Amino acid sequence: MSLHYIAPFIYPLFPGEERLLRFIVPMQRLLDNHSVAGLDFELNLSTRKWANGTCLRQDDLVLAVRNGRVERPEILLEEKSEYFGYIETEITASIPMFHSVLYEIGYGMITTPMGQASVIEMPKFADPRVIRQIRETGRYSLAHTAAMVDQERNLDDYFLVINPYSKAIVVRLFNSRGDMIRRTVPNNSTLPISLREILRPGLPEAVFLSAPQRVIAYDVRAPFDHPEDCNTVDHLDPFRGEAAFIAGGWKRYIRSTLRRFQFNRRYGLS
Amino acid sequence: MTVSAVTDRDPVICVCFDKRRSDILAEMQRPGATFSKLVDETGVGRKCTACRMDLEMLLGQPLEFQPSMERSDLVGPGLGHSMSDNRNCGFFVCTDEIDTVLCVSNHALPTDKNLQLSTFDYVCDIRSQQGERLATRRGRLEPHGDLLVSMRELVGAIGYGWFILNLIPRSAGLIGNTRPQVLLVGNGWAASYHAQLVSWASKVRSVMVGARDGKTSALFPVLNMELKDAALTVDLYKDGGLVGSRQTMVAADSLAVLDVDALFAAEIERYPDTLFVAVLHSDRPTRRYIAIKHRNGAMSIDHFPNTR
Repeated sequence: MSLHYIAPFIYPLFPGEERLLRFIVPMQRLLDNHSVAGLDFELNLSTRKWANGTCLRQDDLVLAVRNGRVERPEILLEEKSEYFGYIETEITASIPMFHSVLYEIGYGMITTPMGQASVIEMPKFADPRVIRQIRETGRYSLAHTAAMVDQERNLDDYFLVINPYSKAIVVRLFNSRGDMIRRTVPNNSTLPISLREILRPGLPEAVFLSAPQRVIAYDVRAPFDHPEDCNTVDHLDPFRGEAAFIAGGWKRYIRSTLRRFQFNRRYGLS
Repeated sequence: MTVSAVTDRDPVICVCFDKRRSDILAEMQRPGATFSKLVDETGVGRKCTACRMDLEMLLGQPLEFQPSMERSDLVGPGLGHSMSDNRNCGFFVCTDEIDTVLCVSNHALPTDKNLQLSTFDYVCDIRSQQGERLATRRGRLEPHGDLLVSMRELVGAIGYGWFILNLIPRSAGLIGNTRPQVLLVGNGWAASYHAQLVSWASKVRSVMVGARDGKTSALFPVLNMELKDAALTVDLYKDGGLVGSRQTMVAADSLAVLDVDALFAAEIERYPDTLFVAVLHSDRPTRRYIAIKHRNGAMSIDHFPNTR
């Protein structure tokens, strides 16, 4: 089954004139790795900038593909914002030709007055790990296992939560001791939530996000009360609903055991 | 055929708009169909939003979805039971100002379901940049437990180094959140990245690198855990065209830390404010990371993306 589109992908926007998001959409690499080869068709690259529930701008770029070669192999996109927001990019084709709805674009760069931070894009939907998790647990959840705040060192930690949908979503953030923060993320908005209410100063801890619907979240390290001055933007991980042992399949068992034996012995890992 | 059998085979996905599985699939077969158009034009997933996950599962199924283990299928160690691969690796920095802490968490989700977690034994092998074994730490990570390993406490201020952390399951359960995080803590800043599976080492990966005022301030730590040296080529692209290429070696069992500004000084001087794509090819599988230094001494850190 070939498709007309890949899942829209999202990058966060940080507020301020000196905070610029830059990323490259590798159109030719996308076609080479992910589509039926050698066709003639048109690609549409649509970008929408959202903040506080409003679509502030939409741009559409139509690109001709002839014999599988796109007229511009890479598209550089740059965006600034007055508010915390996000940019959603969707790629569609005039004929069904994509093999998969997911494609990893790669890191974008967020420049701040102090430097640059890399940030990975997040798919708006269709991540198989998330689908697997929902089936196993019945709930959407993400975790970051190395959250840390320390006011004495002016070190804060935020979950930057993006709701790219048209209804508000209530998210809950927990530590492993059961302390909780509850926040409503309005539709089509980005909300930084400081973790200082549930973390002990100076100690790395796991923080879990739980929501009735999918949301997108990043872990952002920045000074106290200034999440826009981030030095690093890390993605969160879904809870993995996969088993630690898989029963059956002697071939798989023997192959995996042999494959690991030599490496584990070399590093004393058994 | 009974009515219930028909219903089971073609269940209602969106109650608000009375759309069944077959209706959704028919919509997706129409010319120009996308998930967004489906939602926008039919309204499914927009009113109460309860079906949005069902929609994703339905549409993801023929494309990406692999059925997960049913809870009744969870098994423990035994002959014929393949163990999940949880051998992770990464680089670290230990100086007088910077410590690196490995963080692993084995907690359940805040959910009504009683999720069964596995018990893990762990082995952490810590090496110098050149591959000399500095320390080994072993122990057990129980369900609802945490593991924190301070590299500076174990090996002191040695500069760069690397590690392998093997999490060996010892009981039936789910993998959960046990993917390790690597936390670097400096003077007034912290940064973290995910350790990654040793088996995901690769020969080609690319990353974007931004030049600003004639500097990228970027480092590429490259880890070679093979028995032989790896020949590494770094290609720098701008607007899809190659602007520079450099070769180097990464010795077996060692970590090389490449300074992008030193490696491509002429190219970055020519294009002082641009976004490059750096492609790192090696003749043996390696792991690659990107660290960007900030003016105040803080860092942004990540592994290279997992796909080409």
